Amino acid sequence: MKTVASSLRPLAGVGIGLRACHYQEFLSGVPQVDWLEVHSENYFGDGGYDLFVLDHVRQNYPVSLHGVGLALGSASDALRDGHLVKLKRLADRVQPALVSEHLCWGVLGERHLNDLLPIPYTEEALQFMVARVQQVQEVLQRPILIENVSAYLQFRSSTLSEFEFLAELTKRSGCGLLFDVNNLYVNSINLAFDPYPVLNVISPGQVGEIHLAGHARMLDVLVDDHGSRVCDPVWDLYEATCARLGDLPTLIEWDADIPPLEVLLQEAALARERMQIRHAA
Amino acid sequence: MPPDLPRVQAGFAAEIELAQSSAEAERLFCGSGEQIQRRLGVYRSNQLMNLSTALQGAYPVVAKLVGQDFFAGMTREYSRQAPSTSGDLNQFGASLPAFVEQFAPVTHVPYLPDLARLEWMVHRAFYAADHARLDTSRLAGVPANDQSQLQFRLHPACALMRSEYPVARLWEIHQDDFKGEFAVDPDEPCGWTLVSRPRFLAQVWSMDEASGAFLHALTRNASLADALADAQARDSGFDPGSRLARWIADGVIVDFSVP
Repeated sequence: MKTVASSLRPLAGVGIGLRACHYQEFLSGVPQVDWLEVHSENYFGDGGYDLFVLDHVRQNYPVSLHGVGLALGSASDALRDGHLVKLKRLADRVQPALVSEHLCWGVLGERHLNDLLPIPYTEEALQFMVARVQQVQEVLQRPILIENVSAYLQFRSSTLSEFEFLAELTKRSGCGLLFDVNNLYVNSINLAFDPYPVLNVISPGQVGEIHLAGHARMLDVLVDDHGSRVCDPVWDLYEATCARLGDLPTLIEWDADIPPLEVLLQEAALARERMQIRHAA
Repeated sequence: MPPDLPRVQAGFAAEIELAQSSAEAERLFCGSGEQIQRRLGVYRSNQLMNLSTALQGAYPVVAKLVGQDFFAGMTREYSRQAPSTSGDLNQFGASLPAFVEQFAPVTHVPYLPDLARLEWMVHRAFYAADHARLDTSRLAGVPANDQSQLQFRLHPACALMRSEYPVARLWEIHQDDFKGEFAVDPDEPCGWTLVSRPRFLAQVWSMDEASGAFLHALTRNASLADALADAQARDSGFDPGSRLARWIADGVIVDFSVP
């Protein structure tokens, strides 16, 4: 397999998630943003407006396909062929710069729970995930990125930390890491650990993309709702990430209570500033 | 060691299902029973929110009619009876019309199931394949002898339904951009409703009996002669020429073949 640096990092700069409420701005102009990411499943149709818009923006920006529905770690079910076939069809059409999914499960028998549920971090789960990731990479004929998820609980059976697990997964399967800084922060509060030493477990060459987003507080829990601006502790953690791992393509995610495009572009500008702070230092 | 992953996931799913976590939860997760219970609540509400948001996207008018809070509760009941089976949430909700038909709290709204059927047709139309309009000059090349055997084809996004209620009008007045009088004429025609999507925007049309019968025959690959017979059985004055021209111009009929 090619080195991570060349095959998993075709993007540069700061991107934003493309959402339907901003379509008009991307059809009538070319807003200043380095690249765009979409949720793959929103473009699984045979035709229609979403695909029309995606085909259009693809001419102006590199696009990253971010899946939320493969539920790779689901043990009770063979990887659903139909879903993977649709992802392959979309990837063939869009020729994305990147394809990514999550370190999670979500299917039990026939039932899809439609959530990104954490898996226990064990050797058994690792072997299972390695096989699944390889299966997807074989179908897509390209390496993918796998993202760390937000968690509200941790399994008693886990024998590895999430990022030790991810480091092994990238090593054994050839996939890259999509490092969600907000998810790490949310988990550090929810599960009470210091997030900074975790950065030392991440090897710079394995990371293909970074996600930044806002979260909400519900009593003692931080809920990863992607519904607000990136908060200060997450910016600080991001700056430390850039210092340790170098400049990495970074995405501003915003999926609930989506504000005007302007606000997303402001957040993107803040991410660029944080990258530059490191250069100035 | 027996595989742990299937057991852990089945246990996790069961805990999300329950309103109160069981003793098993403390064997699966770290933390106190009370903390685990609250954290499972986050998973429960996230899942319901994901399903409810998706279902509301597919059924905006039904959601408006029953109200947001009720709709969220209805989503919970519905997803118990007909769980999501796809990682693509735009597929979730196909059987909601059948569900509302027997869901006691809404059976007093007799038109709700058919309105839901119409909304699902509109929802699916949004994702259907694109198709260019029919180039009418192609029709001129069909020999006169073959014309009665022409098989016209509808746009892939087109769908037809029948109802005893004026669902097209009900749908229309509940659209966010509807500017007319918020009222349904008791004499509003019922019967056939057609959903089409000439380019990207779904359109909903109320159809007279003959037109509905004609288009319905086309969906079953009937020849022009057979479709016309169906239509004229309902209205002897049905004029195919003007209707065909209109449906072609509107992007409803997009192709034909001569067998």
